[in-house]
Amino acid sequence: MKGWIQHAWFKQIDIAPLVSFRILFGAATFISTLRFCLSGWIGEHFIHTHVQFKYFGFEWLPLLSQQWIYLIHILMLLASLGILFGAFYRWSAIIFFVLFTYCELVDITYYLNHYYFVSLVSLMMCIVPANAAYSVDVWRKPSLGQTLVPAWSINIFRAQLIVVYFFAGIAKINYDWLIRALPLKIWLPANDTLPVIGWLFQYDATAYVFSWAGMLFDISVGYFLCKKETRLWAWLVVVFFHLITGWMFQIGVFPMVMIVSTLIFFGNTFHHRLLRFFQRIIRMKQVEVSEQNHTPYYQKPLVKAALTAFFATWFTFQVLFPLRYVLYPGNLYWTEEGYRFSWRVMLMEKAGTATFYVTDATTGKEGVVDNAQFLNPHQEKQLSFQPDLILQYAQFLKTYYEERGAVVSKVRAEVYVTLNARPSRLLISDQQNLLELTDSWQHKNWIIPFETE
Amino acid sequence: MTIKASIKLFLISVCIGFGACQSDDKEDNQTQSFDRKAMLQQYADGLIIPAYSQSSSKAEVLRLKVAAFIANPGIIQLEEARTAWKQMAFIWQHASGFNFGPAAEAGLKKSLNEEIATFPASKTKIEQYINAADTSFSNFDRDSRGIYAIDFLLFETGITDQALIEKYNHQIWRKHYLMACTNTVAAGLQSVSMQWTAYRESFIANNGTDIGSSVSYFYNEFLKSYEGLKNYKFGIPLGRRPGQTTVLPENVEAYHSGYSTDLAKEQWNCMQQIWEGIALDGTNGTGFKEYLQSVEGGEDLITLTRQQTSNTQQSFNALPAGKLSDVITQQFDKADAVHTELQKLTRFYKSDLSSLLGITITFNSGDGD
Repeated sequence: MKGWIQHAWFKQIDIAPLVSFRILFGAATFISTLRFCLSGWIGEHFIHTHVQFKYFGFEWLPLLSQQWIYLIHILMLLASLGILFGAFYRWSAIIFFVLFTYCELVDITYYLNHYYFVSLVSLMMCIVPANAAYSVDVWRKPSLGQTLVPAWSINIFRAQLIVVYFFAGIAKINYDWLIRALPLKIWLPANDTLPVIGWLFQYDATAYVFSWAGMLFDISVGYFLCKKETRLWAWLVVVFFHLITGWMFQIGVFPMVMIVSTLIFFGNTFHHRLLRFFQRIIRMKQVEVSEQNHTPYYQKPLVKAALTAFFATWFTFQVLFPLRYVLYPGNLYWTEEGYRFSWRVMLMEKAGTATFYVTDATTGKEGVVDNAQFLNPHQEKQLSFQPDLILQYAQFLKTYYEERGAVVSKVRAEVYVTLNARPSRLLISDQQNLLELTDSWQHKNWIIPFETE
Repeated sequence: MTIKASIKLFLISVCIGFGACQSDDKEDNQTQSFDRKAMLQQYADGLIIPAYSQSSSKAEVLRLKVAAFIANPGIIQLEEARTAWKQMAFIWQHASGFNFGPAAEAGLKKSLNEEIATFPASKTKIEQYINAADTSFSNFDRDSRGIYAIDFLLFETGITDQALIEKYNHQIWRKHYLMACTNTVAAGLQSVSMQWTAYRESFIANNGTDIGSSVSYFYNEFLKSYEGLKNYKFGIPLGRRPGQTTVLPENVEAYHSGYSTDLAKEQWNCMQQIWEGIALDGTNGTGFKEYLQSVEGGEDLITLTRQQTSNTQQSFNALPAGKLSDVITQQFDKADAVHTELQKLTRFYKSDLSSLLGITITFNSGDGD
C-alpha cells in the first residue's frame, strides 16, 4: 500500500501529459467561452433576465451589471489563453476558475454536469505546475522549467475522469434505462433524419443496444483507459461514443471536452510527440531545462502533507456526494433529491407544465401567473419539474406582486410532470401554500410520492 | 485485459442489448417510424398556405369595401365593409398562429400576428393619430392599427351608425386612417402569403426535431398561439392575472363588433385541427395525433388529450351568444369555465406532447454524455 501511494502519488514523473492537458484544456475553455458569447447567451443568461434561481447556500450571490458581465467574459477568454500558452499561468487559472464558477453559480437553471466538471478541473489546474514546460512563463523565466512533476499532479485528473464516467455508468443501471430503453426510445426516433445512421433509430432494438452499450461503456472505460494494452482502443471508443452523442443531441462542447481530456491517460512518448506537434504549429523554441538546476515543485514535507490531505478530502467527497441520494426516500428521478453533482447525464426525459396561482389577501382574489412574463423558455422548462426551483419562484412571485401593492398570502402551483413517457401527474400538492415552505437538505415531504406502475 | 477481451465485452453488451429488446418485442412490436415530412406537408398545404391565401384575399375584399365606404359614407357601404371585416377576421384565426418563416419577427418588424393583430386596440391612441393627421405608423403603438383598430373604426360602440358615418363625413383623416389600417393588414397578409410559396419546400425538407427544425418552429408557435387564446382572449379580460382587481371586459379581442366569442371559437377550432392534422377544408391528414401514435406512451396521451379537448369544447358550447364582454360582466362563470378548461388542457399540448415527441424547445445546451 505504501509503495503504491509512493508510486501513484509522490513519485516524480514526466511532465508531458500534464502540459498537453493544460494546452488542450485552455483551448477547449477558450472555444467554449467564445461559442457562449457568439451564441448570444450572455444576453439571454445574464442581461435579459427577470429572475435568477440560486444554488442552495449561494442565495447572496448577486447578478452583476451588464458591463461587469461582458468584462468577465473578456477576462475568461484571456485567462483561457493564459492557460493554453502557460502565460501568467497561476493567475490565469485562478481567474478562470473564479469567473467561470461565478457564471455558473448565478443561475442554477443552467446547471450542467459538464460545467461542474470544468469548474472542478479548473480548480485543480490552479494547484498543479502545468506551466513548467512548453510555456510562455518558462520562456520568460527559464528557472521555472521542469521536466518532472509529482505523480499526483497528473493522476488527480485521471481519477476525476474515472469518477465522472463511473458514476455516469452506474446511474444508468436502472429499470427505465435498461429494461424500457427510455429515454433513448424517445430521443433516437426524434433524430432519425441524421445522415448515414438515422434510419437505425426507428427500431426499438437500436435504443436497447445504445442503452446497454452506453452503460457498459461508462462503467468500464476508466479501467480500460488505465490499462496500457487497451488504452488506445478505449480512447478510440471514447471518440466514437462522444462524436455520436454530440452529433445526435444538443450537448454543445461537452463531447470535445471529454475527447481531449481523456488523452491525459496516455504515456510520455505520445505526449512528447503531441507537444512537438503543437510546437511546430506555433514555431516556438523549446527552452532547454536541465533538471539539476532546479528544485522540484511541492517537496516540502508540510506542503506534501497538506496537498495529500486536500485531495484525500476531495476524492472522498467525489465518491460520497453522488451517493447521497440513498439517504432520501422516494424515487430519485421524481424528487431529484441528490440528483445534481452526481454525473447523471442525459438520463431521463422529464418535462412539466407548472401553473402558479397567487392570492392577494386584500381582495381575496386568486390570479394565474403567465410564466412567460418572467421566465425565458429554458428557465420555465427547468422550473417545471424541479421542486427547489418551484419554491424559489414562489418567493419571487410574492416579492414581485408585493412590490406592486398586493399583500400575497398564498402562492400555490399546479405542476404536472411527465417522466420517461409516462402520463403526467401532479408533482406536489396543488393546494400547498408554497410560502410556508423553506428549502433545506431535508427530504421534501410535500412532494407527492412516485409509485411505479 | 487484452484487446480481445475488450472486444468480447463489447460483443456481450451488444448481445445483452438485443436479448433485452427481443423479450420486449413480444409485447410491443412497433417500430417507431414516422414520416414527419408527411405531417409538415399536411400543415403547409392543408392549413398554413390556404389560411394565409384566404386571409389575404378576404383582406383584399375588405380593402375594396373600405374604399367604397370612404368614397361615399353611407349605411349600406358601412354594412358591406363590416361584413368584409368579419369574414377576414374569421379566416385570420386560422392563420394567426404560424409566426415563423415568412411571418417571423425580423429586425424591427415584429411577427405578423403582433404587427397586424394586436389587441385590445387603443381608442385613445387611434383618435390621437387621427387628430394628428398621422397615418405613417412609424411608431411602436401596435395597438393603434391593424385588424382590431378597424374593429373600432367600423363598429365603435356607444354611438349610432348614423353618428359613426357622420364622423367620416367630417374627418377626412379618419377616412385616411381607416384606409391606411386596411392597407397595412392587406399588405402584410399578401406579403407573407406570397413568400410561403417559396418557403414551402424548405419548410417540408427541414424535417428534424432539433431547434431550428420546422417541427420545432411550428410546435413552438402552436403553443404560443394556444397560450394567447387562453391568456389574452380570456385570462386578462376575466381579470385572472395576479394583481388584477376587476374584470376588464373592454380588453376582449373584438370589443366593438362583439364577435370575440365567435373569433375565439374559430381559433380553438384551428388548434384542434392542427393537433388532429385536419386541413382547413376538413380533409383528414397527418398531424401531431398521428405522430403521437408512433411513439412510446402516445396512445395514452391521445386518450387523455381527447378527454380534455371534449371538456373544453363543452365549455365553449356553453358560452352564451352575444358579446363576450357582456358575458364576462353578467355571466362570469360561463366565460371563466372556458379559461379553466383551457388551463387544464395546457399540459397535454405543452410538456406532455413535446416530451413524448422529443421536440427541442430551447437553444441552450443540454447535459452531455
